Amino acid sequence: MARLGMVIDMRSCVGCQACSAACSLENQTPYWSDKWRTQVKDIEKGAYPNTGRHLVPTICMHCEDPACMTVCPSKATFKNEDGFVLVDYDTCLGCKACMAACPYGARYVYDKEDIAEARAVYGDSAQHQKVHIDKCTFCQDRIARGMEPACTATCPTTSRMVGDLDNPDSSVAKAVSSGLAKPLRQDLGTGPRIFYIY
Amino acid sequence: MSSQKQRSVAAKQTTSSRDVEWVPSICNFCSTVCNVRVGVKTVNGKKTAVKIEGNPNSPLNRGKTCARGQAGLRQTYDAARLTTPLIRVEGSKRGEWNFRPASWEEAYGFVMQKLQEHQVQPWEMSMVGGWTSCVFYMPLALSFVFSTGIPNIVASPMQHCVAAGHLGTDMVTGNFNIHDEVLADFENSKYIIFSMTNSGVGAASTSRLVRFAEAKKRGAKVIVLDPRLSEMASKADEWLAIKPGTDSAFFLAMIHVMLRKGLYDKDFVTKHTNMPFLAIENQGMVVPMMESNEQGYPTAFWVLDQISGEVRKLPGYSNKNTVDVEGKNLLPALEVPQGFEMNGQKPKTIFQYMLDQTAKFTPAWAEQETGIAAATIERIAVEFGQTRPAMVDPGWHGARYENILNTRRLQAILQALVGGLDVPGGWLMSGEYREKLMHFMQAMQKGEETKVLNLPGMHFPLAAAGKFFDPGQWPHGRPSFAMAHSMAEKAAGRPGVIFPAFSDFGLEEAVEGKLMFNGEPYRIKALLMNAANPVRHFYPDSRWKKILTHPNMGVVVAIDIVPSDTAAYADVILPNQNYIERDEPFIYGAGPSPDLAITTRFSAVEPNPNTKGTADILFEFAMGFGALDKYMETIASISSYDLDDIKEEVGKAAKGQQTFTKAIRNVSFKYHAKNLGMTPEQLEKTLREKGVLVIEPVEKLLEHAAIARDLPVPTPSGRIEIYSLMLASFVMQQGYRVNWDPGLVYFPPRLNQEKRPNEFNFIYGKTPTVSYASTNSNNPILMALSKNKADEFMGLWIHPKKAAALDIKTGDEVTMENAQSGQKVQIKAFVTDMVRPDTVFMSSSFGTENPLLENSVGVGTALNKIIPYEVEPIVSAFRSQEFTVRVTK
Repeated sequence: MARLGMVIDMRSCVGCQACSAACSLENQTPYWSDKWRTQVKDIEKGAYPNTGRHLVPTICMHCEDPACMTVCPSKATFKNEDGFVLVDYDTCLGCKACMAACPYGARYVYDKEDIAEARAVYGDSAQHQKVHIDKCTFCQDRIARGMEPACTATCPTTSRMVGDLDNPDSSVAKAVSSGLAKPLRQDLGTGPRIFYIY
Repeated sequence: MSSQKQRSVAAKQTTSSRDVEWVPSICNFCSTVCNVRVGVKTVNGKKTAVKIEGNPNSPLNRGKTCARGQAGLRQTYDAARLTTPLIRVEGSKRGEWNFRPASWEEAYGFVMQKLQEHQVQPWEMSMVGGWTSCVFYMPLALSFVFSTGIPNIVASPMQHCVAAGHLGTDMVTGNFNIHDEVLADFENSKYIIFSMTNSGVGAASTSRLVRFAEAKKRGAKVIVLDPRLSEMASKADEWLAIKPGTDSAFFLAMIHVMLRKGLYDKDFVTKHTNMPFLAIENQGMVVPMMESNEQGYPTAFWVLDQISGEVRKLPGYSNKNTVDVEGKNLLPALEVPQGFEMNGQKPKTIFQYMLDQTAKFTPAWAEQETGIAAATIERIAVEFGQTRPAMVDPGWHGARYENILNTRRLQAILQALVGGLDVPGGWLMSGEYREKLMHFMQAMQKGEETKVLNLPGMHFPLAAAGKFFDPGQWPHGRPSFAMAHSMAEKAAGRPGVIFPAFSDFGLEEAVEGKLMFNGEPYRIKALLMNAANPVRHFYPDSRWKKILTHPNMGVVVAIDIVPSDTAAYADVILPNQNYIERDEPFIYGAGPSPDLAITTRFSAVEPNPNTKGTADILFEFAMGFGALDKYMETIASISSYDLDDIKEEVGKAAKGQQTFTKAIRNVSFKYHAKNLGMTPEQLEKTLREKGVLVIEPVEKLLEHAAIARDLPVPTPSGRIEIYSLMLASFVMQQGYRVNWDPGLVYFPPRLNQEKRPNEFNFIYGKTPTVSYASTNSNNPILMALSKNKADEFMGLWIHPKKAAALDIKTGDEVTMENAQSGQKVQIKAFVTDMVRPDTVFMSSSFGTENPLLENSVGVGTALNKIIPYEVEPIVSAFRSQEFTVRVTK
């Protein structure tokens, strides 16, 4: 079984937010409450004229050792066989422990108002019926159909690449093994599956 | 974890795109025209669009779409969607949203009645078009006005973008088309310079982004000239915060260095440009030695042959300088020896004159103008000249400064100097343009005429716009109001505008009854607007509001999808089908794609039965004007479509057997199928399956149809024109003015240099989430993404030192006043180190006013409230940054 991972190439990301839009439409996340599974942070550094503008895509890191899972009292947050961190919406208590624990800020509440709005916007195709602490699924439903995650498929700058981390010939494995791509905050020891090229 | 749980979770966590049917379409959220596929499935018992993805078969966007492309489907379900014709309630004023629903018959009847009431003559009407009118309806829109005698079209991209920027590069390369933007081959380039563009790549044009990203990954060096740290500039290896409006000084200094150090492609410059042509100086002007025919087109030039040392005569129209009029080979000299004489004159080459003209444009001089160190300019010139392939991005949006055409022209000249035209890593012409050029050459050799819509490059605007400028082309003997106004201005001793193609120049005067032509008032009393939003698109909004609300304005009709700010000023609103609902009336070339490819749209979801496609609306108006036969004949006369086919299909539509859109679509499919050796049914099946059909890939095209190397370009001489014969013709017609100097000149932006402490240069640009001033700002997802970055996207960027002195903090509401015109706006401040201290920036994407646009109304500040009506004299390009502003808390 392939061990899928993602490499995010910050050299080419221009912050167009196609990823956020694609994810929101695919996964019906609450854009109306400014909640997103993936975003591009726009970070200014330094003083003029040596100013830097860093466009940093953020997403759940699908950690090897996920803090959000460890703290989950109902075990609603779990890792599936492929190692992706998912939430069972039916058993999630909405206690927010995971939100506090996640060092990457990758989780948010899909609250009552959001559920109602989702129903209004998406009608009988609404995916989210129950309050839960939402997160990226690495688009399991697309992966199952042989497609890339929505954010990756649409990225106009191919700043997101998905591939098998265990296949030395895959572009993501090459980027990781060469040291070109590194996890964000490696020091936290969570073992992210998302790697960044700075 | 049990796999049962996993399965149950997985079963519930579906995504929108599961079980959809994919229908190919073309994105309509900006003029990049990306190929997309629309995912549809049944929701609440109705076939609904739930997801859009890029079409992987697209040579343009390669399966990708930006945020706008993704979110576009929500336009279809916008709460403000127009679903019935509307007629203004009697007694209400334009600008008020006070309409009553009406039937189509009633709406058409109302328009006809108003036209009669105000005794509107054909020339007293104008169409107003947005970019979709140009890209998707050109054959129908042009034929409509030609057949009904309406000599007026105002098209929003022209004074901002197409005429106002691209024409500068096009004078050099001969390019110019409906999709005249060059799709530069970033991915194969090693060195890329960007100037005055964020919209064209970074924010966000997907077909360009996919290529630019590849360049970044391959390690191309990127230089960005921009007074602020835009998305584009954030990707630069070197961000040069140039003084606004001085980019041409930077380019002139580069040319200065490159010519002197020999850092140009000598082979290309010698063989395919007019640099080796002999020229003389006459009354201070450089004039090539040439012969011309009666129409003023050149028939011969002279060069000095390096090999024989003889002066040789070259054909007037050719792509190469290596064969003379007698068919003998030669290799022209770029420089003639000192003391060279010919027929008693002392000619030099254009190259030598360019050396003379650029002598003063030293890097040290450019440092004074641009604020960029001379050593940096010199180094970049050397790097650019030594790296192959190197590229200056052609730029997208124009306007901004009176010197914009000159700036864009210098970019093209730099590109020509490194031979970077139609080569990997350079500017690649579109497949469509190249195909037209090949057909044009074949027709010319056979002595056949090419129909207007098939004319390649510059020939098209010269022929199409030329018709609007020539009173003799119209039964009523009147040119467009813009040309009439230009003539009146010149008669009054003012500059006027040489080429006011599809411009609003003089519209206000015409509406007010102040415009005179042949001793009679030339009035405009009626406007028919299609997908246009001039109240937000044009500068300033007050001018258009005045035009639309003027008592002399008899009737205003707006065709729209979601009510724009301008629609509120209409008398009649006609509801339009949107891009995912309609079957397109035509098959199109694939935008600026360098591959020769065709594409079209397929209806993905059912349109509201009470909405119509624009083709149907135009046909029904033509019938109302009693001009149906003429309309059909005109379509056939300017395009390749067969008149009998048109008559047969349109005849069925007139009897109500099909829509007019379908009729024209059938004609278009029949024509293209025949060309491809397919049946229309086979073509339909192929396009439905793939969305795009590539006929010949760019690699193959470049082997036999590269411009300049294989094909003459549509410049007057067929060569790449470093010295512009088009500008020289303006000198002949109008007398000298620096704007149309055919050589290398600089004129600085007219900006107040001695500024008060709270006075700034003003610049604007685009955000990636919203296309300028369009109704897509109402899109809930795009608005959410924009609000998430409200400071960057909606704020006035101001440098921290200046902000501190003025006691301004991020989030403070400030007043910005145009220091010259007095226009004022309120805007929130964004204090940032990402902008020059002497300059403030705002984005062009916000400030909607129509209360029906509930997601965007009142969000942000409208750009066109601070910009005055100031245009330059070649194409009436807006001088939209040529002023200073004062900022107070």
